[in-house]
Amino acid sequence: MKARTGVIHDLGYARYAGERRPPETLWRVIMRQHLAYAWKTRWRLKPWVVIALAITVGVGVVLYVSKNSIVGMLSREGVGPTWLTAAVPFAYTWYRIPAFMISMTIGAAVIARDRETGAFTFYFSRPVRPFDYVLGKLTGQLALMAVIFLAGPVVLGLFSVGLTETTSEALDQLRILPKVLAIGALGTVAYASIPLAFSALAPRRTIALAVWATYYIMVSTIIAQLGALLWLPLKAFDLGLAMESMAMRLFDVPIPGETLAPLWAAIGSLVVQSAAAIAVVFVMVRREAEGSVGGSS
Amino acid sequence: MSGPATAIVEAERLSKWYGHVLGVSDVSWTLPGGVIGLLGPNGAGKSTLMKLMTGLLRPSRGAIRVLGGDPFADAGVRRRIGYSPEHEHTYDELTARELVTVLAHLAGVPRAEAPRAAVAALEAMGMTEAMDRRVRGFSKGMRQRTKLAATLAHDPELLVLDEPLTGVDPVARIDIIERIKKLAAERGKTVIVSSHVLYEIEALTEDIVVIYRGQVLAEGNIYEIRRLIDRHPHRIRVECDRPREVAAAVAGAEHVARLVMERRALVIETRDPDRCYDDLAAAIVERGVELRAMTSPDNNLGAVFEYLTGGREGGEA
Amino acid sequence: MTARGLSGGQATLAIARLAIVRAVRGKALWIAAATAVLPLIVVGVQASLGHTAETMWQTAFMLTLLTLPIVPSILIGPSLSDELEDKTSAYLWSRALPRWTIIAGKLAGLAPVAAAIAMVSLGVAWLVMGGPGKVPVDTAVRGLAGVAAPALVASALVAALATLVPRHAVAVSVVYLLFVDKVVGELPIKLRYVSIAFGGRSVAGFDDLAAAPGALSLLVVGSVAVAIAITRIGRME
Repeated sequence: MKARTGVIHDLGYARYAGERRPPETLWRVIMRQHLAYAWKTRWRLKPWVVIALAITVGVGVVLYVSKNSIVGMLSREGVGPTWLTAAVPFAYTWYRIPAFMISMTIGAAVIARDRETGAFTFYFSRPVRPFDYVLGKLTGQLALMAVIFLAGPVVLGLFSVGLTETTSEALDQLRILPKVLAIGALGTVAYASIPLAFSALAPRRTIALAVWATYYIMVSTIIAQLGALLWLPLKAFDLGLAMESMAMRLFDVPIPGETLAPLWAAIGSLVVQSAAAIAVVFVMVRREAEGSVGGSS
Repeated sequence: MSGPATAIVEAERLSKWYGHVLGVSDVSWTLPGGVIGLLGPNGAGKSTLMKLMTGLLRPSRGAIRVLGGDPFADAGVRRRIGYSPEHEHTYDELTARELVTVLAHLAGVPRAEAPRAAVAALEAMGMTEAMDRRVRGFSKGMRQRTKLAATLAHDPELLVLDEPLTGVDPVARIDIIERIKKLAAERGKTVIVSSHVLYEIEALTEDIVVIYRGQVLAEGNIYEIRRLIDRHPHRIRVECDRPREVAAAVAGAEHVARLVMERRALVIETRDPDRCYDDLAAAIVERGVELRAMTSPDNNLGAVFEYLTGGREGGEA
Repeated sequence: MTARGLSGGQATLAIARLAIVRAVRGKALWIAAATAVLPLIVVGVQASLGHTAETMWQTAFMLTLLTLPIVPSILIGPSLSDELEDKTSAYLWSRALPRWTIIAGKLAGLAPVAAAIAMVSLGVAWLVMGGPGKVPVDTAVRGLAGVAAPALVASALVAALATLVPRHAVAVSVVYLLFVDKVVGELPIKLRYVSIAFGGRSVAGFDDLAAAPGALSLLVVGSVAVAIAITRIGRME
């Protein structure tokens, strides 16, 4: 019988003995990676941020010009629309465009792409939990949407405060900031989470984009149309219309007819759809992590 | 290199760059025919050169002619080429039979004949039983076989195979290598195979082209190239019962650069392997030494590749 | 057996067949077809509430036109962009066929499918709202032409965008057709003739528009889009 022998080879490799990142902070790594991914290439994020910036500048110009024009004078006399308050909620109608673009280039694509390329294998063969992955992707996407829905409107809000002439007017105008923050926050969460849900459900990136586009354009519009015919609150199902309704209602902009959904329906729709979306993302990612780890053979 | 006298591929000062990245640099090269191994590390320019040969890329400078024509501009040239790309993406929704049929038809096989040609090609690649299954469910080896079948279904004269054995299991690898060799030997096709796995190329052919950083570093028969690398003396290992006696017999010869003694063996580094073999044979016979083995540890592609690229910065085998 | 080479027409047909088979076996076609059903729900509710034929017809047409950003984008966009991204284009480009046949083939296969989905959607809506008794046949025919023609032109436009921005073909196509084209089509200036949606409304006879200028503008836009797509794919490496 051969004698047992053993040998230790010095490969020049030393096991890392330093400090390791706490597992509960791994989501931050994923979030940073998501932001870096968004910043790469020409078309994912940059042009849409430029468009959002242009919208902010454009609305700011309108605020400034109308402040000094006859219309501005009339509004101060209580005649005609109050431009200082109306221009900001109207801006959300435009902010939705770059937000939808980012949802198409990044939000609706990212999880499906990870599944398609087998990136889940890399994530979940490490001490990354499904919760870390979801939190990382969600916070990353929230950060991107916040640039559109929070940064611009808050700047406009502050600008409108700056345009006031007296201290009491300024203090009065400050009241728009919580409204801007509320609308922006809900819009950020909705436009970040709902495309991620479709991305988590679809097997391929292009399918995810197709389904999200169909949902945003067709399904929402159809249900909003049914709302106009049957029950007005249904209109809030349309994300864009929900944001618009919330903005106009909170700023007391008089819109004729039954164009808008009630405020409670708008807020409720955004909250419920966002919550459902986050739940879907978590369930699908956990299923992926605990079952097959995705990727093609 | 052996083969027909007319060049199959002629490259003249061929260069291709992608923005600032150089893919192929000033390559002038003629390929007469046979089975040629295109060898080089990752990023050397093998795939770029193959894409230039098959009309997927246009040269940035210089020219390339394949089968007498411009592969990018002339569809007639591409009809005579079969190309198997490196990546494994295909039309996964189709069955293997459907995929090879449509690609054969697009290569110019009449629609009525394409199914028969596809079946023949799939059978030649050992895919008879799986040909009616969707490609989506295939293993890597099956995908590679299907790709190869698609490459030869239209009976091209020139086969350009970019890393055809990537991800294939050892048994399938041997089988595919044999089939490729048969194509050249029995059906007279010219086959250009690229790989960065040396023993795959060694198993396929002795005629190689070594590419490194976009340039052709060496071309021709492996052993001839080895012979030309005289800055690296040839190593011969002799296993026998009296290695010191053999060493003493050859130590004074001019061609011997170094002698290394091992326990029951002797390693000679020589600048002239032919003379060394003659001297060794004489010494062994004269002294009645019991010879167990005589081998050349570096008379192989690995050593050739290492010697050619190892002296250069960042070279890898 | 020797490969004899395909004519442009044969290659186009072969690629068209391939595109249709892949679409049928993929999911995108079924998502696109599902969008055709959605306008019918609204028209059905309107009919049950006793809305006028004119209102229902306008709603059905506008909702069908709303599928323009989706159906061509998800049918033709991935068909080209996935080919370029996944590099399966290598199989086509290394074959003995002119590159323009790749665009021609995919459009020949899939653009009629996009048009058919739009026509089925509007056609069934017309039947749901009461058929010839409510909306005259000639109006219906104009309406069908008014959704089919934009669907064909939108398909060409998507093909062009896919060759320009392969990685984000679907996203860019959807956003262009949903926002840019729609907004341009609403402008009260001559520029609106560049809009596919406006062209569709003209052909269908809405807003008292004449059909001929709309049809001509659609033809020009479609031709330019196809020319861009063919030029781009001929130069791609």
